[in-house]
Amino acid sequence: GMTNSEWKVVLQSSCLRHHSVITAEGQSYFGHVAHSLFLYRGGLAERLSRLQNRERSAVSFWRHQRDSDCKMPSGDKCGILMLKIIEVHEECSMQVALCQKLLDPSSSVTSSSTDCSPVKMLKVLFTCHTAAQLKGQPDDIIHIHPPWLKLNLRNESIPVILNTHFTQRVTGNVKDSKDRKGSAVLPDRRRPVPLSLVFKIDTEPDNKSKCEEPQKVRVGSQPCCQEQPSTLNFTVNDSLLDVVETQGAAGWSETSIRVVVQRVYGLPSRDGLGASSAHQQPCGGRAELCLLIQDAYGIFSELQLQCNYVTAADIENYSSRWEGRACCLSGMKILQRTTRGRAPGLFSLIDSLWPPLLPIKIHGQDQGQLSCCSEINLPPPSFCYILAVHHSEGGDRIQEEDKISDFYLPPVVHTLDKILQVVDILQRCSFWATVIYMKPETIHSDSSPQEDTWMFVTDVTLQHTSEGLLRPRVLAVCIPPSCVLDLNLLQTLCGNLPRTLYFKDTVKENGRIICIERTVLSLQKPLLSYAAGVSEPTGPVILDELDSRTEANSLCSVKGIIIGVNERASFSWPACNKCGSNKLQQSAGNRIKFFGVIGREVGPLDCFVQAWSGHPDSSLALEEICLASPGSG
Amino acid sequence: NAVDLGAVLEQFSLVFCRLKFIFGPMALHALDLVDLRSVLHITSPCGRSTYQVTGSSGKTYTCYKSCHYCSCPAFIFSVLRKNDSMLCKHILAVYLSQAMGACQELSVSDQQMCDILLAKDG
Amino acid sequence: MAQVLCRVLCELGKHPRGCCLQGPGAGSPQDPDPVRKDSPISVQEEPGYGPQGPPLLLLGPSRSGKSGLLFMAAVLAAEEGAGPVIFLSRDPLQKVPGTGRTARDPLTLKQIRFLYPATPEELLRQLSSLHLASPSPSFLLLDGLERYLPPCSGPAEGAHISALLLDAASHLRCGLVVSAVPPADGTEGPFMAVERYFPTRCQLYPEMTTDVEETAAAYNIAFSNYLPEWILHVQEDGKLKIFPIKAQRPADT
Repeated sequence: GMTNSEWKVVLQSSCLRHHSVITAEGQSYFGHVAHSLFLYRGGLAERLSRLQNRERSAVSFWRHQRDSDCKMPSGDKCGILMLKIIEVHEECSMQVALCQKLLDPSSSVTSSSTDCSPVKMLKVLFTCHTAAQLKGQPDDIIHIHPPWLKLNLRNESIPVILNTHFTQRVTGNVKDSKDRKGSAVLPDRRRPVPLSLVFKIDTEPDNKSKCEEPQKVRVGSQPCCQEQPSTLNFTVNDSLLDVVETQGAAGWSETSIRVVVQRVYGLPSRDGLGASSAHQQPCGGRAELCLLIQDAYGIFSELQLQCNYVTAADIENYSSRWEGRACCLSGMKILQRTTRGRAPGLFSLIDSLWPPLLPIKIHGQDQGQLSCCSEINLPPPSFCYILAVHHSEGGDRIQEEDKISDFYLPPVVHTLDKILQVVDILQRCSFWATVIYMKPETIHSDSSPQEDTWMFVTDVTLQHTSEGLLRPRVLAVCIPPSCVLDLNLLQTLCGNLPRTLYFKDTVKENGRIICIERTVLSLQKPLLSYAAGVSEPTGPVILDELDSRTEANSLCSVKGIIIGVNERASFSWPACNKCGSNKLQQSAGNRIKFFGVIGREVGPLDCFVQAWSGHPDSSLALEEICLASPGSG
Repeated sequence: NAVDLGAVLEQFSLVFCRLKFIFGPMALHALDLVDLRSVLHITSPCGRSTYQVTGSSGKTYTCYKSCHYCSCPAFIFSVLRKNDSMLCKHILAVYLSQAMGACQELSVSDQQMCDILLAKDG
Repeated sequence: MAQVLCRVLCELGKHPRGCCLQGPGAGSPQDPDPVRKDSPISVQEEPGYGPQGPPLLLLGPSRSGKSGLLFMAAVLAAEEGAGPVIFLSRDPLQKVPGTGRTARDPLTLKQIRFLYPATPEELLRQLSSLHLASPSPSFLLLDGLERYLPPCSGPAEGAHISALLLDAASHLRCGLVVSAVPPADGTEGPFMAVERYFPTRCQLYPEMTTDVEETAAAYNIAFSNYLPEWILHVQEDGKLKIFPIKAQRPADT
C-alpha cells in the first residue's frame, strides 16, 4: 500500500553516513544491566527527547495562539500550504489525507476544468493528535503552517507532507464546526498492513560496525566503558535550549555556548533585602549588569553577570566592549525560566529584536534544505531563560570576538517626529535628543533617585515643526527609579543643560516616553542613527503654548493678563488669553513675585506644569523655569 | 573532532524529526535501544540470520529478518490486534541499527541457529 | 502469484483440444487489471522471493479439495527437479488425492518428503531446522495450518508460525503454499495474525449451482480481490474437476 513505500523511503532517506562506532570485538551482548526510565545520557534518544519537548511546547504555543487569535493576518502568507481535503482515511493510527493544492489563497473553489495546469495533489500525514483536533472531512480547506516537510518518494507521483503539527481548518461555516463536535463521520480504517514486507536499508560498505581505527568520532559510548561523560559535551554549542536542557537546574555548566550579545544594560540590584527601591546605597547607583543574548536558533536569554562591583557607569564600558559581538560563554547557571506574562518589560525588548535579521536555525530542519518557513511567520518567543555567570576581569567565562556579528540588531535611532508618528505605543524605541530641562533640577550625588525623574527633550524635527501640525515641540521623558541611571550622567546634566543624550530602548506611551528597566541613557552618540544628518537645535527653544490639551508634567509657555493676586500667598492669576478658560495659578516655589500686577501683561513665560486640580475650579499649577539656550553655560 | 560531530548530529536532528513524526513515542524508545547497542545480528554458516534485541527490562526478543515479527507483547497487542502501528520498537531499533551500523554481530553454528529461531524469550 | 498453483489449475483445466486456460495475470494483488487475457503464465521474479513468487495462502472449507491441490502442486514442483519438496501436515494423507494425474516418473514422488509434526512446537522446530536439510529444499507446502492453531491459541501463535514459515521460505528461496480452513466466525484469535503474513491468497468458497452432479460439491476459486474464474468440483471419491465460469463447458481431467 501507499504507506509501506513511503515509510520505506523515509527510512532509506534516513540512512546516515555514520562514522565508525567502537565495538569491542567478539563481545556478545547477552544479558544487560536493567536500566531505568531515563535515557542514556548523551545518546541519540536523549537528543530526540529534547527535540520532542521543544516541538511540543512550540505546538501548544501555536495552538493556544491560534485559538485565542481569531483573525488571521491577511498579509504575508508565504510558507503556508493551503489545501482542500479530497479524501481522508486512517492507516496504523495516522491519518492520511489526499489533498488538492489551492492556487488562489482567497478562493475555496478548485481550478476550473478549463484550466490547463495539472491539479497539484498532495498526500498529507497527520498524527492522531493533530487529526483529533482537526476533524478534517472531505471538502474542508486546511492551512498548514510551517515548518512542514515535503517528501518526494521514488515510484510515487504524489509528494507526501510530514510534520503537520501546525495545521488549522479554515472553513467559513461556524455552524459546521459546532456540528463537528458531535458524531462526525470517522474516516475509514484501511485494511491492516501486511507484515510480510520488509524494508531494505542501503548501507555502504564503510558503514559496517567493525572498525579498524578506534579513534574515530564517537557518538554515544558503551555503557561498560569507563568514560568521562564530559568529553562528549565539551564542545561549543550554539543552542541555548540544548545547554539548558542538558544541565537541568543544578550546577554550573561546563558547556560553552556561542551567542550574540544584543543588548547590555543594568537592572536594579536585588540585594536580598527585598525589592524595595527605597533602600539607599551608600556608594550610589549599584546595579546588576545584564546581557540580552541570542543563540543561532533565535532563542533569547537574559544573562546576569555576577561581578564584584558594578556601577551604572560601568555599563557603558561593557556595552561598547560586548554589545553586538558574538561571545563564547561558559560556566552558566540557570536561574529561572520566565514567560511573557511574568516579564512584560523583558519581552518588549525581545519583541523589538524580532524578527531576526538573518535566517535562524530551526531545530530539526536541515539548514541546506528548502526552508519553507520565513522568519516573518515565526512567532516571537514566548519564554526566556534567565542565566547567571560569574565574571571577573581577566576571567575567561566570556570571550568576545573581534568584529560585530551579522546577527546583531542595533537599536533603530529615530528623530523625535518619527517617534511620535511611526512608533506604536508600548514599543521600544531609541532616539538622540537634546535635554532642555530636568526635574528635579538638582541631584543628590550619593543615592539613586527615589522618585520619578523627568527630562524634557526636543530636537530639530520638533522645534521646526510647521504650523498646523498637531505635534508637541517638546517631549516629556519619565524615568522612574526602577530604571538604572548613571549618577555621574545625572550630575553632568545638572546645571549643564541643554545637553544631547542618547536614549536607548525606551518605551513610548501616549504622548510621552518612559524609561523602564533595560533602558539605557548615554552621552555617547550612537553610530547608526537616522538623526545623523540632523543638526542640533540652535537658538532658544520654543515651547508649546498652554492650552486645554496641556498635561501635567510638561513644559509650556504661558502669556496672559494678571487679573488677580492672592496677596495672602502672593499668588497672581494671569488669565490665559489664548484659551481663556483656565484660571492659572503660580506655585509658591516661584522665583518671581508679582506686585501690583493686576492688568499687567505677563509672558511669555516658560513654565513647568505641575498638576491640574479639579476643585473648586479647574486650575493648573505652574512653576516658572529658566531654560538656558543652547550654546550657553 | 568537534566539527564532524556537529555535522553528524545536525543530520540526526533532521532525520529524527521525521522518525518521530511517523513513529511517535516509539521512535524515542527505539533510539534508546540503539544508544545502548541492544541489537544483535546473529549469523550462521549456511547464511540464515536473525536479530535479537535486548529490551529495557533485560529480556531478549527475537526479530526475524524477512518479515515483521517480534516476540514482544507490544507487537502482539499494537501491531497484530489493534493495528496501531506496523512495527514495534524492537523492529524499529533493528532498522535504525542497520542504517547506522550499530548492530552487534554474533556468529553461531547452524545447530544453534535452530534454537535461536524458535524465539524462546530469554 | 504462486505460479505452481496456477499451473496446477491449468493442468486440471486443460482442454483436450490443447488450449491452455489462461491463468490470472502475474501482477501484484493491488494490480487494478488482474486479468490479462493475452499473457500466458510467466514466472516472475519478485524481490525477496524465489522464482516461484510470493508465498500463497489457500483458504477453503474442509473437504474442498485443498489437500489435493496442494499435492498436485508438490508433484509439479518435484518434477522441476530443483530440489526436494517438503510437505508438512499434522495428519498423514489417507490416500493420494485423486487428481487423476500421476507423475510421469515414479521416482519423482520420492523427491517429496512427507513430514507430520504432531504439535505446534514440533512444527516450529521443523521450520527452524530447514536450513540443515541437504540438499536444500526447493518447495515448501503446509496442509491444514488450522490444525496447529487450536481455539485456545492467540495471535501470538499464529504470528509465530506464519513468520517462521516466511523466514524459512525466504532463506531457502523456495516457493511456499499453505492451506487452511478459516475460522467460522470473527477475526479474533490466531487466524487474524496469519492473514497479516499472507497478503496473497486463494479462496475456495461453496458455489450454489444446480447444474452439478449430485455426488460432487462445487467451489468457486478466487484469487485475492479477483472475481472467481473457475469452479472446482470435488467428487465423492476425491476426484477434482475444474471448470471455467465463463466458458460453462466442463473439461475433463
